[in-house]
Amino acid sequence: MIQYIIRRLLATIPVLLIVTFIVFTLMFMAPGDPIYLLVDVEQTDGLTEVQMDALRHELGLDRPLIVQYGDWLWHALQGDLGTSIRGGRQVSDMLKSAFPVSMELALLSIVFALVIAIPIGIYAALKPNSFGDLLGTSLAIGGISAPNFWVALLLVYLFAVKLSLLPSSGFVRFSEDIPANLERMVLPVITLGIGLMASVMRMTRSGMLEVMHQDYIRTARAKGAKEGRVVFKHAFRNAMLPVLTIIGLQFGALLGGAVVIEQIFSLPGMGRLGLDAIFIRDFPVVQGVVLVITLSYLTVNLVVDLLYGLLDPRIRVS
Amino acid sequence: MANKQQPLLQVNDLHTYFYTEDGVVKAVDGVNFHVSRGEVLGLVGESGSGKSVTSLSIMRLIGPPGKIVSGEILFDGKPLQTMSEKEMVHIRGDAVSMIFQQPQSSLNPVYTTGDQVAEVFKLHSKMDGAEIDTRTTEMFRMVGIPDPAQKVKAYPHEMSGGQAQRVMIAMGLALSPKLLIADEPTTALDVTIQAQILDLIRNLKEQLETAVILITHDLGVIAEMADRVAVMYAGQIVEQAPVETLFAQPKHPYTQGLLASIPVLGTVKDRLDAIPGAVPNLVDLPPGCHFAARCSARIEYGLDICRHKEPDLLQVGANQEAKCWLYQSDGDHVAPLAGVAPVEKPKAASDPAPVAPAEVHAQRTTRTTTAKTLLDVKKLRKYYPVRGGVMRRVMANVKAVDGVSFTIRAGETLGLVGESGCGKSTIGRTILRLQEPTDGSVQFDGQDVFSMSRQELKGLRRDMQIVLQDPYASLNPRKQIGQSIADGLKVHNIGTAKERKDIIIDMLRKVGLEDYHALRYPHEFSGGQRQRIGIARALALNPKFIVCDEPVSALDVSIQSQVLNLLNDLQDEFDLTYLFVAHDLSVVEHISDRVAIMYLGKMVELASRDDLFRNPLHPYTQSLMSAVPIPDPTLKKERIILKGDVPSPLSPPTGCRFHTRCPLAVDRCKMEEPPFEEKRPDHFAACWEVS
Amino acid sequence: MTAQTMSNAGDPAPPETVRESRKRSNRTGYRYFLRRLFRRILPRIGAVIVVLFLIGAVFAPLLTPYDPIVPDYEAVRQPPSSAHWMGTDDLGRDLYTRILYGGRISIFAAFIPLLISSSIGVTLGLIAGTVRGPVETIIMRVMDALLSIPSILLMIVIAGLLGPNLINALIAIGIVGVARYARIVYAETLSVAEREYVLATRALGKSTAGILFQEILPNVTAPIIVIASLSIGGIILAEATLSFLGLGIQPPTPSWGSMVATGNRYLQLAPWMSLAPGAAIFLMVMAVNFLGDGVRDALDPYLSGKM
Repeated sequence: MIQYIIRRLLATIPVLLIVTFIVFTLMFMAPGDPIYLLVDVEQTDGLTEVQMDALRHELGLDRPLIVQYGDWLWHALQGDLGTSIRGGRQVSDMLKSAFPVSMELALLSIVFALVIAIPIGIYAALKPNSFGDLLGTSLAIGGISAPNFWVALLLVYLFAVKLSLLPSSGFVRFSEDIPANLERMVLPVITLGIGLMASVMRMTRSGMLEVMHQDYIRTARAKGAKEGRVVFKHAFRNAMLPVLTIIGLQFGALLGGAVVIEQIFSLPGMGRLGLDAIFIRDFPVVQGVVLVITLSYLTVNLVVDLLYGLLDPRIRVS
Repeated sequence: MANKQQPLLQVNDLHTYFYTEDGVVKAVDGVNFHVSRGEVLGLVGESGSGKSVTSLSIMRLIGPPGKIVSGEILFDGKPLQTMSEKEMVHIRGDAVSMIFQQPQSSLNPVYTTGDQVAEVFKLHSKMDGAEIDTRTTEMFRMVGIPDPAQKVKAYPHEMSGGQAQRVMIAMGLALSPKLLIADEPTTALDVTIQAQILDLIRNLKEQLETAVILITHDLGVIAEMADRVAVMYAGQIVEQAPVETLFAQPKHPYTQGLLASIPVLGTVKDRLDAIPGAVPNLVDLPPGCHFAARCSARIEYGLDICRHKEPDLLQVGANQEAKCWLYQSDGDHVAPLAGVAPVEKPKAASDPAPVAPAEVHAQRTTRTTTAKTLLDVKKLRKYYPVRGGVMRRVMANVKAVDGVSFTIRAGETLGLVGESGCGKSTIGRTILRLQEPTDGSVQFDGQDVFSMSRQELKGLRRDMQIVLQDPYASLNPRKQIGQSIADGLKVHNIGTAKERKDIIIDMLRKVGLEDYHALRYPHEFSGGQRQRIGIARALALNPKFIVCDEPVSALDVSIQSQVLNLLNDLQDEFDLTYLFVAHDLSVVEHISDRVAIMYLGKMVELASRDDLFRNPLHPYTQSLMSAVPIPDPTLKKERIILKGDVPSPLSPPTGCRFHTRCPLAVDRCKMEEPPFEEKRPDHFAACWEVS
Repeated sequence: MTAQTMSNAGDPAPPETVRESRKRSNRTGYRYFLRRLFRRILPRIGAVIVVLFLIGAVFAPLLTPYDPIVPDYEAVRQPPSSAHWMGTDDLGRDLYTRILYGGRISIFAAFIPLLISSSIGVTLGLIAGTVRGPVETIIMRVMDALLSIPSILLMIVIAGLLGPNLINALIAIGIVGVARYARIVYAETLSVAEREYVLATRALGKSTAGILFQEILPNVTAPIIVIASLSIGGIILAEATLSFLGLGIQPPTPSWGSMVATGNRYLQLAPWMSLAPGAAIFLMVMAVNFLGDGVRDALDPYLSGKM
């Protein structure tokens, strides 16, 4: 087990290297002088070409790309992700304050999605091609198809503008005031959770459908188990295995969706941080955000795989 | 009713249909039978005959799109077909239980096997937890699982197929049911394990006085286990009789054909009598007898009625019933064999009607031993590395083939037999270099195969071909079969397009297909036809040598004999040499000139067919032969039942690999590996106890 | 009847089998595919909606009297009425008109990323699955890495860095989709390569390239078609999202995503401005997904290898 975790952790290293290198390369392939990616425009205003060259040399921009990447990596390994070109804050500090916001959003969305999707998915699988199944399938496809920024606007319009039930924006930290924080999280969580809900619903349905045709389900029936027991004891645990996998895979989409959602609901999370940084081409921040989000995605998938091992004894041995 | 007391189970006019997109599949179409208390009823038939659907109907386990349309199922006098699901739940697993073909997939992978057996007690008794645990362990002991107290904690994937089937039996017999339905319980198992399981079922059924419905396609298993037999064909029972009567005097032409078409261990025939054609599609059956299209007796007696009207299942002898117009009259139709029936064997039984007028009856005796050596295999090894650990290093090797030497002479068939995992298929593929060998050498026609370059190897492919096991997987689904057959010709630039076309047509005719089949796609053919196509593809290059890798093991018995006959005919016509890899001893005995037996990557015995089967030297060969069920209920042979399972090829036992299961093993066998040496003239074996 | 049976009485197939074959042979071809596709209700609904949107986009000038770009300051932010039945935007332009024209971008632009991702992805997947060795490792590691960055984030980064315009947005969406095709094609290639018919052609002496193009490629097309049809909805959505964030097509050209973004600013005053174009995206994507789902179900027998 320990060996497995070590191997998985080691396997994340090349992935992280490739990811950061890709982003690094992109930054330098982008049109425009890379110097503006590292230095605030105000500082370079009025500098002569000679002075600019000197600055470039000072920043190491005249070195080959791979050397510059190595340099960034060396600092990153020591926890130094550089400073933002706007305001000069430490990137790591900015990430530290944004990370919990995004995580709260993502985790609550998962809970919301599972609570709704699994029962509906099971129902649809047990009555395939029924009206309820058709409705469930339509809902699921609808959930995947709805643009989340539009859903966000619909919900805001309905609950904040029309009904005045919930605040539409503003943010209170979880550590400061829990009820106020949760109140403001309701709409973002629903918006973000809908896509995952749809995927989980479909996966639960197809997983259940497949499991219900397995030989061991026939065995369970043949030994006299009632249908409820067949479904919830014999089929459910097996059908949840692919659902677990999909949660891991969809966690990435969740983090991506958070970029848009945080923007709309003005939540100071990592997505918003990254998006703002993209627009002002704040390279150190963009790189930091991509790194942390990728790392979270890989970590969640490692946890999912470990959970998988707990649920499925076949995986435990190998 | 023949029995004075009421039968345990009475099935009357059962119809179970499946409503599919392609139409209504009449899987069970009017079935009548009964099971008496404590008896074993064998339900025999080929795939698609409806035997499994019949059993699931009894359990009321037919799910959509299937439905029991009509009929009556009386169990202990109670009608099951009208019972509510709530009542049915109390019958299943308690009074009637069932075991299935694939024991490992029939167990839930996420729960321990002990828990799954214990569940039966939980569902049907009021025992407390401790008592259930005791009873579960007791059941494990009863079905012969070693170390039961530990094994109850094992998960299904940690068990071998044989052990998993023992767990299924423990589950089925936990509450001493009145009826056990065993649906092909040993089909997925190796023959030595099959012998163990059949033995177990036989003993436990005596002990618990349970009646058994044994469903199988294997007439040998039927002969060994059943008291009475019902033969199913295309959704109906065509014949019913006590086991001795059925094998001695089969009445229905299908039963007769089936019995004549199977190779029987110890009885060498030159040629098997094949039933022509294939099982019909159950969607839109023509009127009349379901077997009419394949029936040679119908032609022999010129019966017209078979095509129009279905016969009834009627008494034709003492306790014997058959569903055939040969024995019954109707309107103008006079039964040709009606009066003759019980005493005289119908003509077709001893001498079945000729199936193909133009058939070549080659006299096949074992070929001369003086022919030159075509293939010389020396010390062949094939290991598969197993990686593990943080760095994925090679941790161990699966020694699939571990130092095997043999020769094949030109024009002969060498049969290579062994249980699953013994390395027999690997040998075939490695000889052709479809897999790279680990060590050893192969000389083919004087050339060293393993040192050949890519280009030389390509040339060799013309002379060495392979026919594979799975007729569904071995043809590209996207290619017309003509293209598949022409593939080899194109690769080797043989002939013009026109000439290739002629070769394709020639090949199709040679394997018994028609010209127009060339433009069809694989899914349009039945399993037997696809296997013919696979043979045509191998044959198109006009090879000298063909590896036949389990070519008939995926086929129904009536189709199997067609393909075996075809392989025989082609060998004579094209002077072919075969390496025939199989797990079925009877098939190998039928087709081979010499036979080699393998166990765990090693060859244990090699001799001419007659020597090997009349006078097996190696204890493994002996036990293998005694484990094969013989389709003759009068034969009461003494059985050697091997203990335990085949050890893992990852860490094979030291010394002689067979010593852990060998009845003759002595201390020396555990230490030293016996040499593979000539014990009698031309008869090789590897055993310390054989001099 | 008897004569015919006699001639067939040998080993060849008797009449039953022939009839059976004929019955099964109509299971090939694209007519059979279409019949399977439209046997369910959802793909049918999807097809109707997609066709309506396509007609709307192609014949937009014939279907509306208004211009999609020229402002009309007399009619700013009007709610839905008989003259403007979806209302007007902050510059007085008719929303229905802009949605029709916006469809041109949103629908037709979807094919560029589709081509980019499928061509690159399929090639890489095939190479990795056939060549094996270090090439395989490198390609698949890079694909793993691409897949571990959330796709929207990666698109934003690429599109943001290349500069906000439609082409860059489409390139970004295309690149991000590559890994998905590569993964599936790679896995399928490996699994097809294990099948017995590939073994059989190797035994005939066929070269690696021959096996790749004649045996493997035709048998991985079904999964490729399935991913493609399932990904179109996602592409439309991604384009809309990038436009919403201001990283896609720039004003004044109408696109559904940017229309929602503009509407966002007037949510309290003129909710129709964001609701109507958003509904268009939703409907269109859902319709495409209904179809994609149907395609997957219809190709299922191909996927399971039964055909």
